[in-house]
Amino acid sequence: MEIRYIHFRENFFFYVLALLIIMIGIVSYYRFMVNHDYLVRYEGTCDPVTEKCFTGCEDDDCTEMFYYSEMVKYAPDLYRECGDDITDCEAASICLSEDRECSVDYCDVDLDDNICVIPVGKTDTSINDNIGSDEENLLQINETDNTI
Amino acid sequence: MICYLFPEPTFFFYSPDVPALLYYAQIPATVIALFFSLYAFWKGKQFLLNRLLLAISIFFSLWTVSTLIAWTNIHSDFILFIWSFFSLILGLLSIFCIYFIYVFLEKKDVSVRLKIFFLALLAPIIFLASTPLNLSGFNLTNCDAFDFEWFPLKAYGTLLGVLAMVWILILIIYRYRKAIPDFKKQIILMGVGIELFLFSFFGMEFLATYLTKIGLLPNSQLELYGLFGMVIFMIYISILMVRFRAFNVKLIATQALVWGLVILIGSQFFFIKTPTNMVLNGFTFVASIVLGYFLIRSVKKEIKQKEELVKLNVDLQDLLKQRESLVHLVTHKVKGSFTRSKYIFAGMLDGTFGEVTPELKKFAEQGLESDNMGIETVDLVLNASNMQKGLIKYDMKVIDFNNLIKNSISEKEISAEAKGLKIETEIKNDNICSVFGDSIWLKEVVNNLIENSIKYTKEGKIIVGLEAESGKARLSVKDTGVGITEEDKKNLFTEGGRGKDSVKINVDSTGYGLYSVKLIIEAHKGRVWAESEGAGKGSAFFVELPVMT
Repeated sequence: MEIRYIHFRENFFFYVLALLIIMIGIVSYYRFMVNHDYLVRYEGTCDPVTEKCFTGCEDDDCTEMFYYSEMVKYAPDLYRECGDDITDCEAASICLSEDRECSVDYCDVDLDDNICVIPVGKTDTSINDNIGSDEENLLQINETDNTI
Repeated sequence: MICYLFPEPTFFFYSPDVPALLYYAQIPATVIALFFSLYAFWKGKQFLLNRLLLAISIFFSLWTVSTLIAWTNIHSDFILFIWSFFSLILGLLSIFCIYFIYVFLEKKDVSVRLKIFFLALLAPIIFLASTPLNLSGFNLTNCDAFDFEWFPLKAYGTLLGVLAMVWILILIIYRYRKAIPDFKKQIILMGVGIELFLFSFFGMEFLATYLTKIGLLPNSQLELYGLFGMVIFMIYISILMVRFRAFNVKLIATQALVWGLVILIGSQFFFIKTPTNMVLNGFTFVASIVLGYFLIRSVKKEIKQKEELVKLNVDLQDLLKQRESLVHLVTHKVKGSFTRSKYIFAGMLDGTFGEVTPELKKFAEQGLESDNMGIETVDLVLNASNMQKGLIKYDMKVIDFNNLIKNSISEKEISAEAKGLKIETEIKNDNICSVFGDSIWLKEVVNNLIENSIKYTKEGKIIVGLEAESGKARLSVKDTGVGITEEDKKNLFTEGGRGKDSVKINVDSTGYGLYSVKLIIEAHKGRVWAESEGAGKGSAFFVELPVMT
């Protein structure tokens, strides 16, 4: 019977590497797929009347706008509160007391001036007195065009 | 978590939202890489170089498949799981490229120390791959994790790519200087191929990630162009396989081209939108496979025949060498025997062995003549053989060809007259006609031609002429002899070539006389030929040599 010896010294590089890759695979799988151990950033709801919201366009021509805050939550909390889809999940847009890690970022005029929508009441100077509706009660600061 | 702004991909990989370039860049590059490396691996599993090529292709394929998943999938858990391998794959690709080049250049495995060093280089990536230092989160809005990558680790992966490029360049330059010319070409091909691959792959990947991160680009689509570097690398690999039998693989150019073409046509399916184009591409795809198959089969058959011919040629050369040594052995032995008996007969004739009877003297004379003829024949065969091999050293001098011919005629006149033949001369210009050559061998030529005419002419005359024009001296030996048929002309100046009925007239014909004439004249940069109107109509032999001015 032919006896085959495994030359560990010759192939140790491949064995060690293969072992480490398998270990990385197992640990990563456990961390991401089982424990969901990571943060999730997404666009939370934002009321432009009362909060400083980021703005985005619904289409390329920007005929319709939407307002959002930047949410960061710990994925396991989000899974517990909303399942795997945050659409129409109110808990996704607020930080709850049991959340281990959660933050809501609103638009900062100094940093994100051209995409910020700031409610009139929260500005230092009133620019337009004719604004009546909720939509109109907004002051949009734009670097290139400072009109409402 | 689901990226709520993006649609779920169909068939796991297909999403209409991603750019068509994604499929066109990833799939052909991956299939071509896997095709060539698997082919090389299949043909030579035992070779480390082939295994390393396969490993590089597998890492590259893992990269393309992973990026395809990251682009099309919408499940954050799964994307992050895949994303956590990106740095590791980049690191492995760099290290394996260095390892591959080492084995290619040195034709042996690297040292254990170097392997440990490779592992040490990979260690930061390996130990941090699953930790938050590699990836800490996910952006559901963009459906990516660029914002959560730890830049130092990402940069380390790219640095390994840069290190691989520099390391390989140094190795190649160092080895190139010591390599033999044939291997130098291989080093250039391999070096250019692998450097282009690393440059495009790592360069584009880093640029795309960086520009996306700082917001200059909406997405990392730019990195897709870097994948074409692998196609270029594989083109170089296939050239090495075809031209140099690298990787111990017998790959024919047609095979590489046909399958490369089939893969490229096949990859068009991934971004064709209209059904008509899909059907047309389908026809082209099937036709290219069928025609390619027949083309490869026919080329393979042709190559096999050529290889058989080469083998036969080698066998033939061996046989010729064996025959040559046999001829030498036999002729030397025969010549030795002739020489010994010649001296015995000569001794009998000159009285060395005492008084001999007139009857015995007559036999001794016949024996001596026969021995002389035998020695002459053996010399003819030996000379022809030596000339063939270029062993004859010609003593080239300026000689008077006119005078040489006249001397030769006067020597042969006696034997011609003995047969009742007359030798006439037609030397138009009696001036000195100088040629550059070996007088002994040129005289051999003239003697041979005149003797030939004497032998094959029963009655009539032999006319020896010489004329010089247009920088050439032309010797002609014409006779009224048996003539030459068209069939015999073909064999006239060949080794051992004789006329069909020549033996009937000249029993001692060896077939080496005119062959020797041809070899001598060719060595003097001249030419020789024969003319005859047919059997019984006489012959004319011509020798043309350059004249010295």
